[in-house]
Amino acid sequence: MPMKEEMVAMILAGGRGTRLKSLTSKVAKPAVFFGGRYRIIDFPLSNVANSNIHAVGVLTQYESTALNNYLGSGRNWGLNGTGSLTSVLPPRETPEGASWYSGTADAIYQNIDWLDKTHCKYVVILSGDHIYKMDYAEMLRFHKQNNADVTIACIKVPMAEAPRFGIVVADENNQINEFQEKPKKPKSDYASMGIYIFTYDLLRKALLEDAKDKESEHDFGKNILPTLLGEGKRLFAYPFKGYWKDVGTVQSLWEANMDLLNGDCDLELFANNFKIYSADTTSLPQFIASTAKVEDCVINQGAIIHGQVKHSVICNEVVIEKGASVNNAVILPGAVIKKGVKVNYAIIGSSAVVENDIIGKEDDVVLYTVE
Amino acid sequence: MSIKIAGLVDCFNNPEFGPLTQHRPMASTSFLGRYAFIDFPLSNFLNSNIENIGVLTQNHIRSLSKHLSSGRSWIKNTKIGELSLLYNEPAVHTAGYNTDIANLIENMTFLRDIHPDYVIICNPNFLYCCDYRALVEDHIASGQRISLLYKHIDKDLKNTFTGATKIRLNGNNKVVSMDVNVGDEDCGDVSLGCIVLDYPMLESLIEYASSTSKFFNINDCLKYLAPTAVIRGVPFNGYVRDFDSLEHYLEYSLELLDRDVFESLFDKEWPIHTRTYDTPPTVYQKGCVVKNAYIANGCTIKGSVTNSILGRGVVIEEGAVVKNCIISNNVKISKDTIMENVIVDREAKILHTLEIVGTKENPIYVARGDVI
Repeated sequence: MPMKEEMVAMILAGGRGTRLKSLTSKVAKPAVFFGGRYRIIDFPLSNVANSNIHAVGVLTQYESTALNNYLGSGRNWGLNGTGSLTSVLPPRETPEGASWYSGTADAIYQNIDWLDKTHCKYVVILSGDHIYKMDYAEMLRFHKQNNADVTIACIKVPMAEAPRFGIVVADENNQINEFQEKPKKPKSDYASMGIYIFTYDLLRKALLEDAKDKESEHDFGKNILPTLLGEGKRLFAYPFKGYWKDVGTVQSLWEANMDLLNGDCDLELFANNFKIYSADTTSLPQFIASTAKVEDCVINQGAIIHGQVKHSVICNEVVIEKGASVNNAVILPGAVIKKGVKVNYAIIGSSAVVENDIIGKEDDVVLYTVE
Repeated sequence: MSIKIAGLVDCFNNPEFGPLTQHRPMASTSFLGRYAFIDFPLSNFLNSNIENIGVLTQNHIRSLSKHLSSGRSWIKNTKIGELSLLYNEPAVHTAGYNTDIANLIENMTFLRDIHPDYVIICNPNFLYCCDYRALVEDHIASGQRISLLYKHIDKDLKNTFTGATKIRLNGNNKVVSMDVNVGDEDCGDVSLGCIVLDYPMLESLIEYASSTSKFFNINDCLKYLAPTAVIRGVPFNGYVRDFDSLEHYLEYSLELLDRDVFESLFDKEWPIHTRTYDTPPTVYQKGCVVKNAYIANGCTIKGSVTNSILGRGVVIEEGAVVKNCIISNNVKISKDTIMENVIVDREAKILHTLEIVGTKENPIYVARGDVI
């Protein structure tokens, strides 16, 4: 691996995502389907590709087989060309023994050897479970301009939701004075997006120190960032404007899918620039039958629609039979909605066959999966 | 060791679809919004575990090489397998000399390097799904040197398979004569342009052709040999269409909107592979009406689309009505435009005409990139 990359990416993709319930019983959260043809991790990986980054490590742990297979050589995102490197990095055994990744910082710490070999100057650390488009090269420019040690991408959130996030308090020059991890009483509405650029030398030292600390939870938000701030390091908030959604719950995953139906959605998924790449399927062209009624929906190749579909997102190889009616729903690949069945405010899991009505509420969406 | 099979797609003398094939061979012409015709022979090869593939190219190499790219979409093992565009540069400007035989001679190293036991040659204008490995195994079991796939047609041969080769068989299924279908009979047996032969046989066929006439192609050669040599006819029983004209291109494409017809061509166990363009899913907006249509990804539909096929990235604006049409990639049909029996080539924009109406027999064609 004789490479010299200015910035490499590390994607944290090991989490289970328990709040996605049975959607993640057999796959890790980053591998969950989204937007008709994508998996969530297609977003950070495509961002990496579109930001001209050529080396990426993906840290996997929970139910990693499907995710590891999906990542492969990085070919789906063009990250397998000459001089490119896509490494799937699950926990491994070393001469010191074997251990699981015990926190976000620990996962990176256990792969310091991988980072060393890339001879990178900067590392961008990403989550594998956010929906957004972002050019990390812009963020790196900001990092360099500010002569920062750490840059955290931040976004304004409604004050009521602030306690769910890492909250930063920054001055008018975007320099961070205070960092609160999931605070009960947030001091601002400026939330960390869990996207960090570190100057690598500094990150390396911080991780080595943190690994020695028996009290530490080895977490970026809880340990690394507050410690660095306490040491007087230069932490900056990079103001991100655009669509960003953490799809951690069934409800938020459904909402993010519904956002695609809003023509003004800032994600601009259907735009020709800054494409989101994904694995191709050998799907047939989508077929809309003469009995079908489709409007206000997003449908992927391979779907067969005989029934009615409104305000919904339909994945590949989904079959909506005659007389079935699908409203406000997300139907994942290969699911079948049988004749006359009504689905409203629901997410239907992959390959599920729905024979009875599934009706949820707008603020309490039903998840139906194959057990 | 298992037998080694090389597959050749013969893009010589394929039918033309008028202006649609002015810039591209029919092999890379768009089919059903998502495919190119050559995806079918290539997927037949892939699904049959045949992964040394040559594409004999007559002309319009740009369009084909763009579609095929590195070929990896149709190759299982990218080290062992190979998909090569075979081009006969010196012959391109001398029409008579630019034949599939001359192309094979020019590119002989391709086959020599593979060193196949058997070679299967097929034509992209005949659309069908076929297990070629089973065909080769059947050929080997027969003990004959050349097998030719044919289809028995019971009706309307006068108006279909135009320019294809009619064959006559004796009681032992040996081909005794081969003639161009000039539409004089309503039923008969037609060649599907697909032959299986052992490699030494192919070499002698090429040798024979080039010493008989420099203008000979493979089909001429078979015609010439049929009365004396043993060419074994193998009947094909599945769905097949010969895309022999622009009118049939429209008719046969739209015929697949009948799901029974569709299912006689497509089989879940026999996927058709094509290259990806990472196009997002299609957006059906409020108020759109879509009935009986195949739609590729990346479209935005506000108007009405019935009995039609849309390629990738097509935009149908509010109030536009599209009926019995094939619309290629990235076409825009603007507000309130009425389109019926029209074939619109890629990147065209219908902006200033409110009505374009052709007939089934005489569809209207809108050229690539044109603004109407």
